[in-house]
Amino acid sequence: MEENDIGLRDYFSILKRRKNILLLTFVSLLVLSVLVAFLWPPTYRSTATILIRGQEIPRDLVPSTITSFADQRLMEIQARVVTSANLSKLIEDFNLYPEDRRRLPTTEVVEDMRQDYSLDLVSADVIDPRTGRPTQATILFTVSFDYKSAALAQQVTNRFVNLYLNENLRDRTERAQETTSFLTEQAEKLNREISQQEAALARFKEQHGGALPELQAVNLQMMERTESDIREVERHYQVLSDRRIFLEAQLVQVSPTGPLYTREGTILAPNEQLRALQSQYSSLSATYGANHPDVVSVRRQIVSMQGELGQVDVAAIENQLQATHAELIQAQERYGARHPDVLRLERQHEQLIAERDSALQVSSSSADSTVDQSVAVTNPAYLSLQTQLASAIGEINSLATRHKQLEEKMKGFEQLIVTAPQVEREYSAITRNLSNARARYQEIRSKEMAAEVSESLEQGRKGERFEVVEPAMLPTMPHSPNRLALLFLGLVLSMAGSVGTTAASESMDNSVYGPRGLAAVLGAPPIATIPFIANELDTGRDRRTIWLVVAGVAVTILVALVLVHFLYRPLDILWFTLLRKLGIS
Amino acid sequence: MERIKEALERAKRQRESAGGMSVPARHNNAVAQVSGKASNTLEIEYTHTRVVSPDPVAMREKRVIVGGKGDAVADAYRMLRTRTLRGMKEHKWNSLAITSPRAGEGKSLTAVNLALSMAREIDRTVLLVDLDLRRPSLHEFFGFDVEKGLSDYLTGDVAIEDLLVNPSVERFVVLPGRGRVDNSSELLGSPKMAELAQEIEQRYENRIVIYDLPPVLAVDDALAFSTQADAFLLVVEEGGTPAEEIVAAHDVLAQANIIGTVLNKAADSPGQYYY
Repeated sequence: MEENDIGLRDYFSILKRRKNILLLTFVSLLVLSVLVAFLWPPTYRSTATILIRGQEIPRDLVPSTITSFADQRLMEIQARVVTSANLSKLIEDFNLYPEDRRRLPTTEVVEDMRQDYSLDLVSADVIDPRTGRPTQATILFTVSFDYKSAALAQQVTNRFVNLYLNENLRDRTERAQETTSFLTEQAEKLNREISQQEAALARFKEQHGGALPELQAVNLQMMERTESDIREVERHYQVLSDRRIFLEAQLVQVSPTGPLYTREGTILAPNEQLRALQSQYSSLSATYGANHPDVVSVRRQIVSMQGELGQVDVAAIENQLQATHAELIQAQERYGARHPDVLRLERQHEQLIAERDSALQVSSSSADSTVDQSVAVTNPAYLSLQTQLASAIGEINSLATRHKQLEEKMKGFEQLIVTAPQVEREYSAITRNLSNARARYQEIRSKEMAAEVSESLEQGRKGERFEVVEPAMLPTMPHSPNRLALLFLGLVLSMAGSVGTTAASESMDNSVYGPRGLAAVLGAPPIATIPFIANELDTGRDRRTIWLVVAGVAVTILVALVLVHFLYRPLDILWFTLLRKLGIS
Repeated sequence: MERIKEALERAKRQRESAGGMSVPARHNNAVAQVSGKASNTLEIEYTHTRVVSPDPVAMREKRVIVGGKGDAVADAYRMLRTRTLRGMKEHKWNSLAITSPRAGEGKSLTAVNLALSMAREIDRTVLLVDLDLRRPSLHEFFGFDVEKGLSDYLTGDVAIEDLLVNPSVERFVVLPGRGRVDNSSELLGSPKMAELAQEIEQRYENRIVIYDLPPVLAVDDALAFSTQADAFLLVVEEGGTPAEEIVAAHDVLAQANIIGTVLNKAADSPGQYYY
């Protein structure tokens, strides 16, 4: 007999000797699974459906500034809705998971809640209006929440729906606002740039006022004119210089004091009269004493003439004074003090001193006014020449000044014309910048207007939006567990488990079974096989045990049913509840 | 029930007939093996041997098979008896030691039932010796009290005749054990024990001596005695004895003659449904 040859009979014998463990595990597993199937707390699922409505106003008319795909945005919104903060607030508001919260940290309870919440997208095949290619678009989504209480599941789901709607609205408005404010900011920046450029241009113009390219022609013209002016002034100057030389030459030839013609005849010019008097005085003094009336008279005339001419002969007076002084001293020695000569000489002496003083005074004052000789000019021709000469000189001076001015002006123009190309380059750079900035500003402004329209689209809720198609309903049937499936699973499990346990105990049992088993060990079958000998105790015990078990089970079931009927719920109602739990009714 | 009653009555009759005799029982060596059943029975009268009436309740309790036909268990023992006897006859063995790898596998019961079954054959007598000196139990199968046991003989100065007990079964004598001995293996290996074995085996022809030994793997008693017994019968419990222990027991007794194994406490014996 083969060692490994296990036939049906062996299975039967295994079954026979293992029937206890087989039945025990089967029944206990079955009872356990039935208990689990019926006592497993029900979980209710409340689901809300939200439609993603497209923009109401055609995009061609008002393009939205929000261009991302709906499902992408949905995921972003979900990330913001299912935050730990939101979830823990929900948990606290509705007092969810009271048992879990007592023994677990909040983060784990939140994680559990995340498991119970679910978001499902429903897509449809559409044609992308932007690319024209067929694509998948999310048209609606469902939000659901599983909880052991139906009412709480509904409330929490509704809360989730609210969160989604608000978050979407906030998100879109925020995005639109962001776009607008960005564009506004840009426009402002450009505006600042433009005013800066304008200021720079003004400053530049101020700095290079005459050298601006648009003034180039005027500058050239002005320069030419100045040049001809200069030439004119030079020519005029030449003429006047010639005239001046001529006049000066004329003036030298004409005496300033011409002879005075009176009724008595010609009156000599004063200086000639003086010369004549002086020669008369020297001839008289040679003939007569100094005190001779004629000498004195002539002398007086000379003095007066000198005074008139401004030519006081101080030295002559001094000489006279000294001579008088010596005469006086001679006289005083010779005569007494009361002598008439002495007295006369004293008087003469005093008179001379006074004369000298006045002469000194006159000469000092006449020294200042030598120009006033012209006062003394009496010759009209001389005067006319003098006047002509002065006017010519004045004119020459003014021409020189003008020439200088013109030259400076000319220099200025030359400078302007030399720097013009450089200025032109800078100027064009500035104006180019300015015009660029203006163009950009215009562009940004128009974009900003469009963005503002889009923003008001979002604020007016005319853009793409979420619409609750089906609000969360109060679930009447538990979502899970599927008790029928659990029962079936339990049946299968208990079958597999009992078979497995049996197989395990069989394989773990190393003892021999049957003559063949022994033969397999020793190589020879036993010489005899003696069955188990049951004594009365065994059989009696068996029978009694069976009776006891049957009676006990029956009594237990009966008592349990009676208790359930009277204490918990009438049995007929319970039966229908059971059917409903199984989902049959 | 009927069988036991019958046996008891028979035992009573025998006791009445044998009462008062002080002469040791002797076999007639001449054995008539003729077909006449009742007339050719080997009649032995136990004169010296203590005869006790067994306690039927104890016997039932201890699962002793008192005979009878059509009983699957009795048939199984008959099969065991026949096969054993054939093997022993072949080798001219007349002592058989019964042991098992572990305790509680049914050595003593097998020894008792096999001995009773052999005794039922009219042409031989059976002596059942309790060699489990640590825990002698054979007397419990018949429900009698032991006054003097094998240990008393081995350690003290008691005649062997004083030890033997006939539990009111023909051609069947028990040498019971008593008390508890610690140096059992030394006693079993002692010359006195060898002498005793020699004596009881050689004394009568057609006598089968069955030794009830302690388990092989638990103590070394069986090993110590293995040289004295002609053959060994290994009792194995179905669903109890691990395979490796069977092999180990087999190895321990490798030097001795193992006549075979008995699968005890089998859930079903082959052929039990056919008769």
